[in-house]
Amino acid sequence: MSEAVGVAAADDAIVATPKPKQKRRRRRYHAGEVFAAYACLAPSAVIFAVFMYYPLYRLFVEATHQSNSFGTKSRYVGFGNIGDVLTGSDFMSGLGHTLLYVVYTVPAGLILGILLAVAAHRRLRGIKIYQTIFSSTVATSVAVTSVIFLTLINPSTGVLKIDILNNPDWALFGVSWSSIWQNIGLSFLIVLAGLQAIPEELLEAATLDGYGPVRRFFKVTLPLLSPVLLFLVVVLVVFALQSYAQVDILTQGGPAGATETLVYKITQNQSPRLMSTGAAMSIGLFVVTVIITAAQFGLLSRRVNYDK
Amino acid sequence: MAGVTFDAVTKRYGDVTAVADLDLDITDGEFLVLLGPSGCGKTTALRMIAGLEDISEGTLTIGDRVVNDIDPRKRDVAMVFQSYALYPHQNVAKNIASPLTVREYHVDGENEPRKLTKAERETRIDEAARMLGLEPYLKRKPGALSGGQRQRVALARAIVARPQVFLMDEPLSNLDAKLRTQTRAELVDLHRRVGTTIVYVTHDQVEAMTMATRIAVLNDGRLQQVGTAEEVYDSPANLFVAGFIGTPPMNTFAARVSDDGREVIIRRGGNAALEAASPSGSDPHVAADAEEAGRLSLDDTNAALARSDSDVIVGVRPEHLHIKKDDEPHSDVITGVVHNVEWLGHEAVISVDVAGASVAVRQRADQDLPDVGATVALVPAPWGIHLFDPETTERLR
Repeated sequence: MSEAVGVAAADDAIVATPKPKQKRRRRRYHAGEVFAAYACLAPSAVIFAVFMYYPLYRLFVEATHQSNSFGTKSRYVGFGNIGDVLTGSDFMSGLGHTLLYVVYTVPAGLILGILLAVAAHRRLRGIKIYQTIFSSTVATSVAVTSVIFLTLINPSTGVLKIDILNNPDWALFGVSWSSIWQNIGLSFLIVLAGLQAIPEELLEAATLDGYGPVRRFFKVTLPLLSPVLLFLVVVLVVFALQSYAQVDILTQGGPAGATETLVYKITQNQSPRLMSTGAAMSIGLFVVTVIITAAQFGLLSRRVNYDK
Repeated sequence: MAGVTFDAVTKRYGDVTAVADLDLDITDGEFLVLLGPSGCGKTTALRMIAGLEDISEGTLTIGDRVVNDIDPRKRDVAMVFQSYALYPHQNVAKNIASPLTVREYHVDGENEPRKLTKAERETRIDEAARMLGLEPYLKRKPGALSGGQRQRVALARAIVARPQVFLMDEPLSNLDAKLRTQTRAELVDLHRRVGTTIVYVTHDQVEAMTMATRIAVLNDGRLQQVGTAEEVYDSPANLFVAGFIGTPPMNTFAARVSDDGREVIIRRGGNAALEAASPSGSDPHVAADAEEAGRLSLDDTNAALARSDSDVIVGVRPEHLHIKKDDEPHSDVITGVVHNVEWLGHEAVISVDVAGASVAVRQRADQDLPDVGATVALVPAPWGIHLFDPETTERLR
């Protein structure tokens, strides 16, 4: 098969030849084109300006101004206010609760989503029923799941009768259960879609290569799921960082502030006098979210396989 | 190395029978091609050898081991998939090494199978990579390879395992025509060198004819004929095989054997075999009032097979028909009108309307070609006449 080498080399030439780099040349635009371009951009620019840039600007204004109790007078207190708030114990405890909440909810949500998706990814009679049940929480609002959860675990009248939300040491963990449950639908759906995109032949090839089910999962399925899982982790982390409604409904931050997450604290600082604190905390949350998300991409994306 | 034996193997999916009562003995070292139209059960048969499909009935033997209930991992077969099924997240070297990392192998001079050492694995990988010209690409991922290269990686992954049987499911169908022709020759060469049994599935008769030591033709889950390329081409077992093998396929005519059994009277032109081969399987029977299109006398062999005064299907390959020249004395002719001439450089295929149906005639391109619309007389070569039973569609024998 000496020919094979020759052909291989020929194929190689086709694949490996680097494309000549095209120099970007600046094109001159006609005035009409420029006008059309800005006209097309205008609607989204307006939407961004109204709903993103202006609020962001206001956030900084609020964070640097201290108002009286009625909001009738305010004076500039400077960026030092933001620093004070973000280093204060209130923000720190909120950040601590929030990060703990991430730790409680993200790995559990991820693993449960994978387990359920793997269990439901098969051709069985009636499997659609299970798929529907597993994904049902996607269509259920946080408020509804929280109320159902509260009813379920109510220590005196609930079905499960678990007294966890009144214990300062365990309350946050208890709240996280409802989030995990809430997130299962999304995790399940995303992982299931990822599983369905993996060609059956690849798993069959692995079987013939001698891989057992466990090895097949870790060596073939999981690497091919990795882009989906990265997406899911990022989304779940952002959800956890922004958790509020379940806290508000289940514990109102209690007992003794044990479940006060950052967003919950921000909502508690909305009166005119406290607005600057809330705004500063919002900036803090934004920065934390950016750092964590960037870190996830930085750490994980090298281990993610995007080849098809 | 080992042979594979299907003994009355049946595969059903619910009410659908994909493979029916298959008896097939694939001998050790053979290059057997399972050939048939899509949905004929050839891939199912292959997947049953691999263990990727359960066997509903019958026994399947690889070597001297009944494998019906043996896990696919333990069957010692390697498969090349139509899509190649390479692991996209691993480089070529790791893809090729994949079967060597988990399975245990018999090593020469040792009784018990064991996992290979790193050195042994690398020797095998290098050997396979060299054999298939993949050495420059070992560090690349499949996504950075051309279709032909991927196909060779899939082959290399099969080779390193040194399995008892290679299973190939249309491995050339994703290659372009030129590469396909070349890879065909490479596969034959590979088979010659490694000598391992290959079971190869295709719907492409050219692949089957050029590579197979034997061809098994399947249709509707049933085995139609097993034989060398020559056997299935020269003596098709039934109208399906006659119509499926050969391009253009064999011309068939509904006819009646004369009273003395020495002649057949062609009633109607047309490719009865094609009709039989089509899924709907329209009735090849002769309309009683069909017009007579010609008379052919039978040679001694065929005369011995034909029952006088009975219906019969006459088959003639396009190359066994020629257009009668003016000075030829033949009286055995089928008359028709030329309606198309395809000139292909080395040959020409002339389509002739015989009593309403199209008959193909193949002749050398340097000979005189008839005009479209001309009335011509077709002369069959006496040895090129095949007789089939119109009831069973089987060849008379």
